[in-house]
Formats: sequence, structure tokens, C-alpha cells
Amino acid sequence: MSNVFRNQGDHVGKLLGLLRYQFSGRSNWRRMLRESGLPEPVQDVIDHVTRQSKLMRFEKADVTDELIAHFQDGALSGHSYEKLVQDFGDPANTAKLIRNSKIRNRPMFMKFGRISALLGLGAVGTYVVALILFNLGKPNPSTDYLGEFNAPVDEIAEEDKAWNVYRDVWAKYGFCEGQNGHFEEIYFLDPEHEDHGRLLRPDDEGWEKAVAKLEDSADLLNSFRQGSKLPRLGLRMYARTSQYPPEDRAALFPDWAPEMEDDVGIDGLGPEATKLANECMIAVLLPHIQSFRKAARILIVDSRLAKEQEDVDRVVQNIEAIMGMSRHAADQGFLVCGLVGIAVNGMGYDLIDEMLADNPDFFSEDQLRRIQDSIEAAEPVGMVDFRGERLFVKDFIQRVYTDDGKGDGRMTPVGLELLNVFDALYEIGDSKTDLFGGIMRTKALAGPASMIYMASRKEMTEKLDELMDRVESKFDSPFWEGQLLDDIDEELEANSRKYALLAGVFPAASQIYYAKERALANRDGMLLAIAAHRYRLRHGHWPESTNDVVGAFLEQTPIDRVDGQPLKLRQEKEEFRVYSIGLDRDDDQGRYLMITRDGAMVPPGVDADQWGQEHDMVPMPARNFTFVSAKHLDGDWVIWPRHADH
Amino acid sequence: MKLEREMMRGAGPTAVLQLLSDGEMYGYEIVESLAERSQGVFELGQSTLYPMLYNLEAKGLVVSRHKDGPNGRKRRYYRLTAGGKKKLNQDREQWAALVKGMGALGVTRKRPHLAPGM
Repeated sequence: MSNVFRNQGDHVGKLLGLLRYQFSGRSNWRRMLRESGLPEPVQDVIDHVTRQSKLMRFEKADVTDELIAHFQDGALSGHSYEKLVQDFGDPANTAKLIRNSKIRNRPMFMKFGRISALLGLGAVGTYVVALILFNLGKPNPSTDYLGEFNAPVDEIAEEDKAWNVYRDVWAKYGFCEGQNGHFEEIYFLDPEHEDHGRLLRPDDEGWEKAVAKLEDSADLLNSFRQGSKLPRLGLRMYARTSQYPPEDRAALFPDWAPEMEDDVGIDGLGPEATKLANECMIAVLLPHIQSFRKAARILIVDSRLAKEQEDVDRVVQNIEAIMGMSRHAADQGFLVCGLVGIAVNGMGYDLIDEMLADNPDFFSEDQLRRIQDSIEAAEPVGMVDFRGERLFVKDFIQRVYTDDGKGDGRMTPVGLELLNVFDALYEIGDSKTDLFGGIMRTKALAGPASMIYMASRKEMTEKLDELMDRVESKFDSPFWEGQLLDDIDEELEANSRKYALLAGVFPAASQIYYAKERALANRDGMLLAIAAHRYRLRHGHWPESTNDVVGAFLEQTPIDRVDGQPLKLRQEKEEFRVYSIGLDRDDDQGRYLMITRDGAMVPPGVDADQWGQEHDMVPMPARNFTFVSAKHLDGDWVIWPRHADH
Repeated sequence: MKLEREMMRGAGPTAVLQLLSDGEMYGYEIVESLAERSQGVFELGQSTLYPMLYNLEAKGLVVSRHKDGPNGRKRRYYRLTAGGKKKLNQDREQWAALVKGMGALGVTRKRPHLAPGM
């Protein structure tokens, strides 16, 4: 150790010595030359060599000193200065050779310093070039992805479009967003909660008003029932509300006025970025999908009224309408549409359960078969479509990158603005404020850095296609096969800087996969439950196993998504249950998974019995099952009865 | 006869190391000794000596120091290091093998006539 310190001390001493020499008068080589007494032609040669060597000051002094000695020694040996100059050789070449050899001869710390300086200069130069390049970049969106997205709608026959049935009545009621379309009358308003509580029931206060509202809205409810029978929704989407045909706009955006558009700014975006964002597929609003959810709620309340009026066929029509509208909600090809479709679907399941809860004979066998058909027609897998997502992300890519005409390009300042707003919206990574953990505040740094760290346009597009292809290829595989999509989410999270754009806008693949699996389990469980009700009507008792209903009441054996075995059914006292064995993969004979009334599950590692004594526990609603955090829970996933609370 | 540049590039450093094996010398002294003892063969373009010395110094084969000369003027003197001596021995062996090989090929018909010590 002591040697190391001593050596370091030597280096430091040498450095200080050189610095002293470099900046002191002792290294004034011109003065040394003037004072040498050598004739002018000789001084010229030495001056030329020393100056052209372009060495450091102390090195020049060293060279001058040596060359002065050389000529003086030559003269002392009896040679004329003229001869010495002649024999000396080419000064320019000498300067070059001396420079190279002196640089080789420099101490290590000086060499290191020189390399560092060169690297520093190179880095600064590269940064300046990158900064200029970055600031010159502008996106040039040239592909009409929204047009591509809408193209299939244009191929639907007019008579197959449900939108033609819904549109005018929705417009009349201002059903989307409109003040008159909120249907406040159908909600039981909980004074303790600001939001809408559950839906009204016949014994609730205010039921008469709800009934009056429903009766006043007969043509709206009929539009639900008639439109839902048609195969497709058939609605074209636009990024700007002003682009919609007036009749569509009146139905979708009843409160819209021209002055509400075009000048709409987005927090954190400049005018150019705002324009790009407003024309992007991300700007497509989907007011109709929440309207389908609202329509399902209205139909649930109307079914309660119909039950009270003993109009069972109207209840069946309402269930069919909810199922049909769940298809229409999902018909647009955006994932969010599919997820809302699945949710509307689940509301239909809950309504069926509610109608049968206290009277399993409520529907006739023929009505149950109709309900079964409507459930089968609203197939959850078909509702989840990644086409819109793929096009939307490509549209976004063309708005943040330049376009070299060959599918590649680099990040732009305006693109970074858009990404940063996305970062704030979706909290990409762990950044609270911006994409690059703070340096976004200085765009001068973030810009060139983005060109280094972030994928190019081509890389981003290829990654998008690769991930989407992987999602689509694995999406249909059942949970029990273990082909999960968590690796895609993890890969994006691990590369959230390079693929920041995808990390922000790529769908949460695993969550959507689990939503699809949950929907399929609910669908299959419902089909089994209805088949069991049909069996009961015919035989006077509940079936004892799933096999009893397959064939006569159900075409295919409904499969448990957890283990690939048939879903199970069981009669527990007066209650008939359909269940999956749940994530503990253990048949608990249809025993409910219990949660608190607020929806909390027993945390891992906590004694379930003690937790149950300390909390108000209720059976977990079928639609709340999670594939992620229920492995430690003992109990089964009961799909029927559903324990919904609309 | 003077050596061509490429030949000089290979032979020059060995010649300088050989001269310094007798003791330390200053720049012009080396120039003169080379020309005299090699009978003009190593008559350097004088300016090329100094880059050569600096390179040898960079490689650790020679070291220099400032010292007062007989006339009282300060000069820079060069001398061999241990590494320089080892390198000189290696060069000698290689040159002997080269001369022998060239002789066998008939390139050098007579024994090279070199000054003592070379």
C-alpha cells in the first residue's frame, strides 16, 4: 500500500512540476532562442521545428533547448552554421516526427488527460450534432390508420347495423352524455355516497318515479330490444367530433357545439403536439360503450318491474337485449370496448341469477333455452380484439417519430412532448414527473438522450408487432395450460426506457387475458346453471353431476379454466351451486371464497378464521374472481349463485 | 554510402543503442559518432536523431539527464537503461543472423567491414 501511495505522490509531484514549468517563464522557448546567440537562419530552423511541433509549452522549451545545443555543438566541432542547417534536414518533417515521439514520451497521466480531453470533445461534438438533429425532426403522419380501422364497418350491410336502430332514439333522449339521458330515477341514491348506489328495487322509495321514467322511455327500451337482435353495431369512429355525420354526432355527443373543438388544449402540450394528439386514434371518444352499460342498468330495473308485473317474456327479452348489446359494445375493435362488452355481459348473467334466486321455476324451459342461446351468441373471446390496439399504437408511433420513407425514423421534440404527457397519465415506470426521471425538465438533455436510449421508429414498430403476435398466439390458450402472458408485461417493464412508448400504450396483456378467462368461466358456469334449471324443470330435481345435463341440455361439457376438468355442481341444502375448484386447485365441495363486505380478501399469511371473526364476511361475487391474488385462499370459485348486488 | 530511409528506420535505433553502450552521449556527439564510426553509412539527416532518441526514451530503452558539459554549457545526455542493454543484445543476435542469412544468399559477399565495437 505504501508503494502505491508513494508512486501516486511521485506522479502528483511530477504533474505539479510540469504545470509549474508549463506556466512559468522558464518555458519561454522563444526567449531561449533569442538569447541563444545563434545566427538568424539557424534560429529560423529551430523556430520552425518548435512551432510546428504544436507541443505543450514545456515540451517546446525542451526541444528548443536540445536543438540550440545541437547547433552550438556542431559549431564547436568546426562546422559552419550554413552546413549545419543544410545537414539538419527538412524542418517540417522533423516537427512532425518530434511531435509524435514527444507525445509517446509523455507521462501516463498526461496521456490519460489528453485522451479524456479528446473523448470529452468528442462527446460534446456528438451531443451538439444530436441536439441539432433532434430539434430538426418533425413527425409526418402519412398513414390513415383510423380509415383502416373503420374499413370493415363500411362492408356491413345497412340492414345488419344496429346503430341505425339505436341512433335516432338515442339522439331524442340525449342518451349519450346528455342531461336527459342520465336516468337518475333508476338509482337508489345512498346519502352516504356521492356516486350512484345500487339500482332501485320495487320496495325502495322512489320506485314509482322509476316506473314512470321507464314507461315514458318505452321507445328507448324498444330500441335496445330491437337493435340488440342485429349482428353488428356498424358505427364509424372519428378522432374529431366535428368529423362525424351530423345524425351520428347528435346521438353520440348531444351536448357538443362547434366551439368546443379545435381549440381544445391538452395540459402540458404545445399547439403542434396538441394537433397531433387530437388527430390521433387516441382521440377517438367512445361514449356509446358506457351507454350500453347504462342501457343494461335500465333493462335490469325494467326486468324488476316486469317481474312484478309477471311479464316473464319481457324479462327474457331484456336479457337477450343485454347480451346483444354486450356484443355491440365490443364491436369496435378497441380493447376497452371488449372489456365493457364483457362487463355488460356479466350484468346480464347477474340479472338471470336475480330472477331465478327465489324462484327456480320463474322461466319456462323454452325461455331458459332462449336465454342459453343469447349467452352462447355473446361469446367473450370474440369480444376481445387487438386489431384496434395495434393500429392505434402504429398511429401513435407515426406521430412521435420522423419518417425516412423506409419505415424508420428518430424521436422528435413534439413526440417527446406527447410521450411525456402519456407518462404523466399512465405513470410509466416509477417516474412521477416525466419520462427520464427528471431530466425531461431540460429538453436539451432529454432530446438527444432519447435518440440514444429509446428504440428507433423501426425497432419500436417491430417490437410492437412481435409483442402483439405473441399476445394473439397465446391469448386463446386456457389458463390450465399455463401459457400466461405475464412475461410480456414483465418484458415491457424491464425495457420501459427503450420502449417507453410501448410501456405507456401497450395493453396490459396479462390483465386482459385474465379478464377473458374470467369471462369464459362465468359464461360456461352460466350455461351449466341454466342447463341445470332446465333439467330440474323436466325431472323435478337438480342434476347430481355435470354429466347429467351434457347432451340433452348442453352441447359441450363446460370446463373449469383452472384445471381443465368439468365444472362442478352441487346442491347445498336449498341452494344449488356451480363452481370451479379455484386457484388452490382443491375441491372444497362448493364452499364459497369469502371476502369482506368492502371486497377485501384475507391477506396472505393471515389466519382466515380469525380474519373472518374480525370482519363482516360475505361470499365473493362470481364476477370478482381474480386469477392473480387468490392462490392462498381456501374455498371454491362459486359461479352460481352469483351474489351480485346491482 | 547512405542507407535508404526504410533501412535506416530498422537499423538506426540499434546503431544508437550500440553507441550508448560505451557510455552516455549528447545529441550532436551521437550524430558525429554515427557518421564517423559507420564510415558514413549511418550519416543521419541530423534532425531525425532527436525523434529517434525520444522514441527510445518513450520505450524505456534510454534515459536522459541535463548535465554540464566540458565547456560549462548544459547539455542533455542519453544513456542506456537495463532494458536498453537487453534490447541491444537481442538486436545484435538478430543482426548476426540476418548478416549470416544474407551472406548465405550471396547478398553480402564479403564480411562486413565495420568499425570496432559495432
